[in-house]
Amino acid sequence: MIFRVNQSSGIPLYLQLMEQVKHAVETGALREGDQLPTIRKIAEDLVMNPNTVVRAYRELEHEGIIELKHGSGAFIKKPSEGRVRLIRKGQAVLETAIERLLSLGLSEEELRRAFEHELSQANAKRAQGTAKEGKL
Amino acid sequence: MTDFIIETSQLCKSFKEKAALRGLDLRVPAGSIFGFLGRNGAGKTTTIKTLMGLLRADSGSAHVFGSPVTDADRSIEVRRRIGFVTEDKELYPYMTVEQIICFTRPFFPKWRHDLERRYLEIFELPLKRKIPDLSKGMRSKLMLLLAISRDADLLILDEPTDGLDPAAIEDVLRELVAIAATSGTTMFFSSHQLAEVDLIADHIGIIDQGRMIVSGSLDDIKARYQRLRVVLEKPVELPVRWEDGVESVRQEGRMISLLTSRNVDAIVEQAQSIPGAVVERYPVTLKEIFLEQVRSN
Amino acid sequence: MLWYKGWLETRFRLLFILGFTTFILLLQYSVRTATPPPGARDPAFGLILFSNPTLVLMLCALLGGAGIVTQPSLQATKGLHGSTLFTLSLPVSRLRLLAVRAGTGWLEVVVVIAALCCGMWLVSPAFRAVATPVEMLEYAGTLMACASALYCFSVLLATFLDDQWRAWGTMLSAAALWWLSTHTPLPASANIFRAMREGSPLLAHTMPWTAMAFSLGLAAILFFAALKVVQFREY
Repeated sequence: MIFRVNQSSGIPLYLQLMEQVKHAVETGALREGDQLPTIRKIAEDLVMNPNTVVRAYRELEHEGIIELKHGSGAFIKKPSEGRVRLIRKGQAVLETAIERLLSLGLSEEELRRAFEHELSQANAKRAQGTAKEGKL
Repeated sequence: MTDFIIETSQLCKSFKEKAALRGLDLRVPAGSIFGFLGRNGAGKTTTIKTLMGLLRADSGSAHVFGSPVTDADRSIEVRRRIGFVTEDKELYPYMTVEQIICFTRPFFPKWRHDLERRYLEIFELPLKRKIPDLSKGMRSKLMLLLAISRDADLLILDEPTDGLDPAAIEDVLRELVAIAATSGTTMFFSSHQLAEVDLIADHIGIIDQGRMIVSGSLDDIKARYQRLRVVLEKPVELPVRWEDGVESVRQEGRMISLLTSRNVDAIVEQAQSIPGAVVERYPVTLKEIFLEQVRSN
Repeated sequence: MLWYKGWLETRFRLLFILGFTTFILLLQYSVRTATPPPGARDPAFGLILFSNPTLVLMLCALLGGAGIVTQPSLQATKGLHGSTLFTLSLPVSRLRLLAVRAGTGWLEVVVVIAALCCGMWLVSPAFRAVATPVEMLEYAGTLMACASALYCFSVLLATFLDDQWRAWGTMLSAAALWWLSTHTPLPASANIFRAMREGSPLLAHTMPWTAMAFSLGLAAILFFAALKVVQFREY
């Protein structure tokens, strides 16, 4: 499994890692039961601090995407029923919002940019929040 | 209560007329990768030499592994647990690579032959070549080999990637990360490669004119330092007295750029309270934090 | 391994000194074959009185404290100074570092003195006629003991002077002291220079024990002083 992080993008590294794992799950590159590389391996391959990887893994576990089996490693979890329902709900919300915005006259590009902008703002807020929660 | 492998308190050191350290407070947590940053002449090497007992501080205290650096009795045992890379990477000019490894080995009972072999291979160090015939980059790598193979509990590295090409820097950092991931070795290193430090360090300290101006966990610092962009409706000069924690303010027309070092929420609130203002947050790189803090000091 | 390092540092210096010694002996050999003019002093005695101690002095000055580098010297590469930081970062006491460094140099002094004496014995029938093998051994022992003070003086200078200054400093100081010793009344027991010439077993036919003891005592004091410098110096 090859991950890549962009140092200069400004997005916290652990978030980038999380996004890549989630993306891999959504596209089917990673399936339920697949094992993620060890923290050490990712840290070495990407030349980043192991604690950053630890944080990403913990957050992923918190969100229910992976399971940390003590001693054996990190495994992709089958999304729980609740999770699937939540994703479906989110998709429904997005569908309505997109329809509305398109009908207002926004172009697809404008829509995409607006969405990404709001998302990065939300990420920045969240990063500050988790850091405050203290060291892992 | 965190364990601090290195701890200094109000360390002062002057050379003739120049004051190199003016009350330095440094705390390096055990097991951390600590990036020690500063401009040339800020006092990085002086600090490192004081920790290694090569210089004596005029006042203040410095402790490594809990013992004061001035304690001569314990200093030998302390040095047995430290791997040190000097700033100028100079080694004995009359020895070959092989000879200096043979020379250094017996001093360290915990010497790791497997690591020695590994680094000889990865760093491509020619055993029979004389040290003066090595390039600076190769000498850096050799010093790293000597420092790491002794299975130290603490690595003190003064500009370990100095003189190395990008590929070699990558190799070195990867090895440092590997060590951090497997053993509990604490790493204290000074560097000018801010991008690299941003990647591998979990704690940093910025020294300027002999004092520590920023220090702490990198995550913490990155969370406290945010760039706020405030877009106003009209290009008005604001007679605002910003809340504590605003490091710099730049205004161009309707756009104000703020850099915060703490108290972000209060500042955001204050900005949002300006009628018609739109406030956005952007993360800040270590380089920006460094430049901002060092310039304003 | 410190002894090994010391050896690597000074082996070329030692070879140079041995070469120089051979040169002196060859000179002596060539003089031997020439017929001295009537009334002239026996050249063999010239050697004992002058060249040997001079050689020994040079020897001490050059070998003394070699490797204890303080400032970047003119001819040595920068490497020698920077590497001092590496050495001092090793888990070794400065006493041990100084002792091994001084020790290797002193052993080399001993080797050269021994080579010199054996060489003299082989090269000059005049010596063989004048001195017994035992006396040659005593002479060698005297030189070694008397050289100790000079050697340790060089070691002390090495702790705060760089290489070239140290070598010249030792030689000039020793020459000055020698001159002083010949022009001021010093008790024979303390006169180390005298012990290496007129007082030596080859000429006086007794061992100058007090001078030797004085030299060794002085050597110890100078070494101790050098140690204190090394321990308190900053790098």
